Amino acid sequence: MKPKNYLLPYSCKKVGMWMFLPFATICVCALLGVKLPEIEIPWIGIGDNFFYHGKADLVAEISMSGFLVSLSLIALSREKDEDEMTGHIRMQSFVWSLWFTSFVLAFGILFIMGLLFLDFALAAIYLFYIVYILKFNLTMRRVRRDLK
Amino acid sequence: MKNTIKIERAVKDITQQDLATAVGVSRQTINSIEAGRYVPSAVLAMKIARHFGKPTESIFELEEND
Repeated sequence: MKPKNYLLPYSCKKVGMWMFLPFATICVCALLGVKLPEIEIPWIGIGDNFFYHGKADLVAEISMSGFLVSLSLIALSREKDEDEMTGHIRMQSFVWSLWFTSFVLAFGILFIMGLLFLDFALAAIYLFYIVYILKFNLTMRRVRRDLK
Repeated sequence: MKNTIKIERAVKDITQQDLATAVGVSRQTINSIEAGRYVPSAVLAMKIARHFGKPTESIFELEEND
């Protein structure tokens, strides 16, 4: 019996990589305080009084969602040659990334104060994905290099 | 865990790629197992042993620190 691994097909990784650059650029620009065009639209969500009914910045919403989708597609897609060792490397990278993110979050909670903490919290959402993708792909690259 | 896959391959005169295809994994996995960098699952170990027509214990052997 083959265990389920809940991964997407390899083609999704390519889609994620194509999406990554434009969405990452917009998000980094926003984080660095670059003035981006604002398109406000009516929005319903969860706010201070639980129910929020107001306006949202379309550019910010789409760029942040697109960045998250691109990272998810890259992180959660199969490799071309996915097998049990790849699964093992995935698990190790996952744990490594969890440790790293935990330390960075602990540091941020203790030492980053004021409004800067909001930027830090926003960046921290994506940190786990980015560290996991880097760790996994660097390990896979090393394994493939050992073949030559 | 040490193994004799490299020797068995030489006896059967097959490449890492041949063995990888036969047991349904990538060549890099066979390479890592041979080099001792990766310990295969019980299922994969049994598939490899079956491919060589030998019992699993004759190909995979526990070491002192396992």
